[in-house]
Amino acid sequence: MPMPSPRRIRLRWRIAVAASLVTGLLLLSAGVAGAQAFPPEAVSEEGSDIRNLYLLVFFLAAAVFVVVEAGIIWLAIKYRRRDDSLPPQIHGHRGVEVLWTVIPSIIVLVLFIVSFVVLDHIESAPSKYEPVEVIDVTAQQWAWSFYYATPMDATTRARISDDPADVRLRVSDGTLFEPFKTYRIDVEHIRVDSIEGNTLMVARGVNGTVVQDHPAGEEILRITNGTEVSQDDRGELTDSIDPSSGAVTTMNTPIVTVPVGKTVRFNISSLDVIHSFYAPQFLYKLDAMPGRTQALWLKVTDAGFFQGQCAEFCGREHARMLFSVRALPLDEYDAWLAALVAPPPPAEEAAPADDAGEAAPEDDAADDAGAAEIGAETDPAAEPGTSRYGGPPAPAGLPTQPAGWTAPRAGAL
Amino acid sequence: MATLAGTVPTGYAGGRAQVLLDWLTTVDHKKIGIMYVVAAGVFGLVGGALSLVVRTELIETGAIMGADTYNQMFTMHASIMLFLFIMPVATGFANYVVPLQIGALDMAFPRINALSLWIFLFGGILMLSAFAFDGGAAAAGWTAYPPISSNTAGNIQPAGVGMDLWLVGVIALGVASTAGGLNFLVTIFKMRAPGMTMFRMPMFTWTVLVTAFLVVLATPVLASALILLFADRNGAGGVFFDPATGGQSILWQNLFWFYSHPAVYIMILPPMGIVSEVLPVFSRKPLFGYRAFVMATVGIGLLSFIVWAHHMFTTGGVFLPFFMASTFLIGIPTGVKMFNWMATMHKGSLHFNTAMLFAVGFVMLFLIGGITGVFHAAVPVDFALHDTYFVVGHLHYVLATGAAFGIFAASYFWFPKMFGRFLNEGLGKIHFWSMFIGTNMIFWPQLMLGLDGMPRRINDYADNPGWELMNQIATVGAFVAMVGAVIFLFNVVHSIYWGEKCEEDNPWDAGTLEWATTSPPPVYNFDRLPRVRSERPVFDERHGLGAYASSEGESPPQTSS
Repeated sequence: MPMPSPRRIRLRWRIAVAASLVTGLLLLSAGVAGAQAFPPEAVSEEGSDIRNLYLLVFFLAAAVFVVVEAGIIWLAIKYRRRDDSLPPQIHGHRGVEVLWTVIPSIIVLVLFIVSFVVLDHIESAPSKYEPVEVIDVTAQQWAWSFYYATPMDATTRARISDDPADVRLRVSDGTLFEPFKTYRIDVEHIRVDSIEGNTLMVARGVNGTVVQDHPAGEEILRITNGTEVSQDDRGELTDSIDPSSGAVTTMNTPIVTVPVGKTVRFNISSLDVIHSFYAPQFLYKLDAMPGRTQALWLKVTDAGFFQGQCAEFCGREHARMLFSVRALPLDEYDAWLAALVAPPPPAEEAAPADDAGEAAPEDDAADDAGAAEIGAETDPAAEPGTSRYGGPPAPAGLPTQPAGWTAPRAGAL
Repeated sequence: MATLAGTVPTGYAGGRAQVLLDWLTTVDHKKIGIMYVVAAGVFGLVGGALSLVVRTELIETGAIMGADTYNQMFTMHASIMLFLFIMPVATGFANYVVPLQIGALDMAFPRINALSLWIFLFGGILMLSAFAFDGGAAAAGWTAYPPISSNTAGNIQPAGVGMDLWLVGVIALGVASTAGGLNFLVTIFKMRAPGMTMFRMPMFTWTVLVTAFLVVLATPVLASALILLFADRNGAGGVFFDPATGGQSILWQNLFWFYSHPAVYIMILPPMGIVSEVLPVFSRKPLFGYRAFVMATVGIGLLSFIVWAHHMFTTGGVFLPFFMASTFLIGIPTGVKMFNWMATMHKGSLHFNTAMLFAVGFVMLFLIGGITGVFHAAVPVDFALHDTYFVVGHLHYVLATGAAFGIFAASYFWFPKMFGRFLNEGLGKIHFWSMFIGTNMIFWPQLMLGLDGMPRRINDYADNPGWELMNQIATVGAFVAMVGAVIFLFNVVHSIYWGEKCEEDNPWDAGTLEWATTSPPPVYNFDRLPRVRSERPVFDERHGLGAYASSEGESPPQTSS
C-alpha cells in the first residue's frame, strides 16, 4: 500500500488526538459522576483492614496506570511516522529488561507480604476466652434466616420440632444429621436442662454433639443446639431509620441484628444451592455452601442499618435475595435479644394436637442425657421464627418483594 | 513476487454448487481457517446481541423481562463469547496463519483439522438449539456451579434440558479443540521451514504453541467434569456434585477452574501474539526482547496451571496463601510483555492504520485488565470485590478489550493476505473509535459499580445513588460498541468483493513467512522460501539484514531508504 502523504498523516494524527480527548472526557465525566474509586467506608474492624489494603493496591495501581498510559500516548505521538526511513533496528537490551522484571517482582512481593499479613489478621479466630456472639446464617432459595444463641454463658436451647417437614438435625459445629436415625448425646459436654414446649434446653456443648434415642419410629425427635431463635422478618414490613437523614423507610427484607464492639461469629450455611453472604460495608463475603457450615468472624464498629445481598448466582430470584444488617450498641443488643428469647405472654393457646405424642421421645432424650427436668409446655407458635426454621422452601410465597424495592444504605453509600 | 498469482483458483466451472461443495469438503488449512473465523464471527454477533439484551434490562431499576429469560441471556452471552467466539476465532486465525508463518504446506493432519471445524460447529449449534426447547437455554451462568446447574434435590429450580444441551455442546467443543491443539503441536514441532529454529519462530506461532499445550493438558479435565455433571443430572442423582445427595459442590469448582483458568490464557495468548506481530510491523522495528517475550509466554502458560483456585477465594475451601502467591506471580511475565510492547514502539516509525490502532488499543486497555486483576489477587480485597461488577469490568477489560481488540487487529492485518483486498480504512477508523469509546463506557462504570457493592448476575438492582446512571452509561456504551461491530461486519462483506486490491505479497513490509507468498496464497502456500536466519526472514531479505538480525544484543546497522 502506498504510504500516505505527510499532510494526511498529520490530519490523522489530529483526529486521533481529538478522539483521545473525547474518550478522556467521557471517562472523566463518568468518574466524577460516580466518584467511586473507592469501596464504601467500612463498618467493621476487618472491613477497615481490607479497605486500607485496597487503598495501598489502588495507589500503586493508579501510579502504574498513569505512568504506562501516559507513556503509550507519548510514544504514539512522539514516534509517529514522519518519513519512510527505517528506524534503528533495536532487538533488546539486557539491562532494561532485567530492570523491568525485577521492579514488578519487588512490587508483587511487597503486595504479597502486606496482603498475607492482612489476611492472617482478619481470618484468625478470636481468643478462646473472648466473648463472641454466635449467629447462624442459613441461606436458601431465596431467603435468609438468622438464628441466635442465647446470651453468653447461659444455657442454649435446642428446639424439638413438631413439623414433619423439618428433617434437619443440626448442631453448632455445623454437622448435618440424618433424620430417622438415632443419636446419642455426649453427656460430657451437653447437659439437658429442661424442655420448654417443643424446645429442649441444653447447655452449649464444647463438641456440640447432640441427642436422641429414638423410641418408637413414628415420633421423631429433632434438635438443634444453640440456634433456636430465628429472626426472619421476610414478608413482614419493618420500619428502618436512615441514620443520616432520619427518614423512616418501610422495608421487608430479613434483618440480622448484630452487636457493636463484640466479635460476631457468623456460621454460614445453605440449605440448597450456593449463596454468598455479602454486606458491602463489611467489605467481606463468604459463600454459603450446601453441606457445610463455615465461620466468618467480624467485629462491627458502627451502629446503623446496612444493606446486604446474596452475591453468588442462585437462580430466579437471586437479585431479590436481600437482607439488612442492624448494628446496635451492645446494651441495646442485649436488651433486644433478651426480649426475643423471653417467654411469650401466656395469653395464647394453640398447642398442637400431637404435643402429647411428643412427650415420649422427649422423655427418652432427657433420660439419655442424664438430665432431669421436663418443663411445662408452652406454645410453640409464640416462639419467633419457629415456623421458618428448617422448613421446606416456600417457592409460591417467595419473594414478597414489590418490583421497585428500595433498601437505602446508611452513610457513604 | 507474485509468481503464483495466476494460479490462484478464483472460481470453478461447476458454478456455485461446486464452490460450495469445495468449501464443505476442503482440508485446506486456509479455507478451514476462514470458515472458523466466519462461523465464530456469526456466533459472536449472536453473543453480542445477547449482551445488548442484558444491558437493556439493566438500563433502569425494575425488571423488564422475566428473571428466567435474563438468566439465560447472560449465561449464553458468556458461553457464546468464550466457547464460540474468542476461542474459535483465534483458532481460525491460527489455522490460517501458523502453517504460513512456519513455511509449511498445510497442517500436519488436514483431515483432523477439518473434523475439528465440523465438531466445533456441531457443538455450537447444539448449545444454541436449547433456545428452541421447552425451558430454554442453560441459565446457570457459564460457570454452571452445581447445585444450581443440577436437577437433583438440592435445587428447587431444577435446570432443564438446556443445561444438558449446554453440557454436551461444551464436551463437543472440547473434543474439537483438543484435536486442534494436538494438530498444532505436531505442525509446529515437525513442519517448520529449514532454518526456522524454535527461537526464530514468529511470536504468534509461539503463543499458539503454548496455547496448544494448555488446550491439550487442561481440556480433558473439563471434559471429565462435564461428563460427571451430565451423569449427575441423568441417572447418578447428584452423587458427584450435589451435597443434598452425597456429592461435593466445590469439587466441580476445582475441576472447572482447573480448565477455565488456563482457558483465560487460551483466549488471551493468541491475541498477545497478534499484537506482537502487528506492533513491530507498523513500528518498522523488531519485537523488543524477543527471547524474554517467549519466556514470558511460556511462564504464563506454566503458571496458569497453579492459579485456578483464585476464582474460589470466597468459597472457604481454598488454601489462600498459595493461590495468592501464584496469582501475584503471573503479574510479572505479563508486566514484562507490557514493557516489551512499549519498547517496541520506542524510537520506531509508527504508522497508525486500523490494525495498529487496535494493537495499541489492546496494550492500553489490557493494562486496565491486568491492573484490576491485581486487586483480586490480594485475597482480602477479593473478599470485598468477588462476585461484584468489579469482576465483570475486570474480565471484560481482559477479554472484550483485550482478546477482541487483538482479534480485530488480526482481521485488518491479515485480511489482505486472506482475500487479496484491503479492509476499508475509513470504516476501520470509525470501527476502532466506536469500539474504544463504547467498551470504556461499558466497563469503566462497571468497575465503579462493583466497588460500590453491586453484585453480578442480577436482573434488578437497588436504586443506590449513582447506580442507575452508571448502568445507563454502560448500556449506551454497549450500543456504541455494537454500532462499531456492525460497521466492521459491513466493511468485511463489502471489502471481500469491492475492497481496494492488494497486488503485493507484502503490503505492510512485514517480516514473517506468510508475507513471502501471494495474497491470497495458492493451495500448498509457497513456491519458494527465503532463507530463515531470524524471526523476520522476509524483512531481512528485503532490507538486507539477514546476517545481523539473528539474536538480540547485537547492534545492527541503521539503514534508511
